[in-house]
Amino acid sequence: MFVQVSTRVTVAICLLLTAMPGLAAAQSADAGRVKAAVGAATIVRQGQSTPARVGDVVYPSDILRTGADGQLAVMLKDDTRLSLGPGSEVALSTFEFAPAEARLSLVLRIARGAMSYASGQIAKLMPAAIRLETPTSVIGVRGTHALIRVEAP
Amino acid sequence: MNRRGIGGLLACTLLSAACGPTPPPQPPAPVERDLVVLAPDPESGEVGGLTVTTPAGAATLDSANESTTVLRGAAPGAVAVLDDAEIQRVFGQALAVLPPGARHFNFYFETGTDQLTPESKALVTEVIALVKARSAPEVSATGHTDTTGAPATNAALGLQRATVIRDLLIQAGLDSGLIDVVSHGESNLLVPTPDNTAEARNRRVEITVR
Repeated sequence: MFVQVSTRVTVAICLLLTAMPGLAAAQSADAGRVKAAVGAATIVRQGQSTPARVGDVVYPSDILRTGADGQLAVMLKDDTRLSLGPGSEVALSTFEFAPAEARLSLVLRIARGAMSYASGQIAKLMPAAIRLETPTSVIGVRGTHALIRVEAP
Repeated sequence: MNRRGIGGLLACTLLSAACGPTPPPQPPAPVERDLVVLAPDPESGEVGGLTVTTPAGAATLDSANESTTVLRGAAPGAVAVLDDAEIQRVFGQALAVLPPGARHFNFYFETGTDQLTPESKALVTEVIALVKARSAPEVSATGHTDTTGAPATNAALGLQRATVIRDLLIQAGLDSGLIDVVSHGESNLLVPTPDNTAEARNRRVEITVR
């Protein structure tokens, strides 16, 4: 009955929101986990910096930071993988992965340093929902593996 | 443009007599510069694509190890292939800690039952072994349906199916704190179909080990 609707997913959202408000609330807000942390590696959350340890949860808006001897890797809920070399800073500006509600987005802001990015489910379902931002450019991702270095003054 | 600039500079350096007196040294301007590289997928070797956009222009990278350098305010520089040694020099320490990719396992039910097919039963031990081998492992059970019926009903059905598999994995020894259950209903089809289409391959629970 919804065959004619080009964005069937939109209908799905409306139905979900009316019929099952509990489902959206059941989705946890965590974005992913730390999979590797070496040397000076920290997570900055609401201005507070704490050392990153393997297994730590990462949330949207967190900033990942490494010092001169640091390396840090995170895996997000949609299977996206990020890893940072020394002297790097990457903000997980936006992360939403709720395909049943058609909420998909990933925005990473690379302020400095070197990052390896391997795409996950969001890149398969909605590549336009991904934006990798640097001080000079915006990078769109069709897949799957990008390496980005930002030299900032 | 960059290449020509560098070429000119080289020519000047080599034939400095012809270029007149060298200008007094300028303090180096602060550099704001990105390097963007499209690398093959770490596991599959597959090469995707990247688009680099600045206010002044855009560049597309679509084959292995293509790169562009971007200076603030300028269009992305000419696309050039980086060799592996240079990639290792710049990105080696980031690449060294890139986690292994997620693995996906599709569990199927015998038609109209909550009994797993024999093939799917055999996957249980494989999943448990993989979880043990990973650092900080996480598991997701994601229920999927085909497009028969209303999306909201399918979202609920997907959750039911995913819960069955979660319980099964916990019974087989998986730590219950490591697994979460979600439903993608009919919004994430394995085999694309129109609405209201019965398709057995879409009625699955996908176990993801990250």
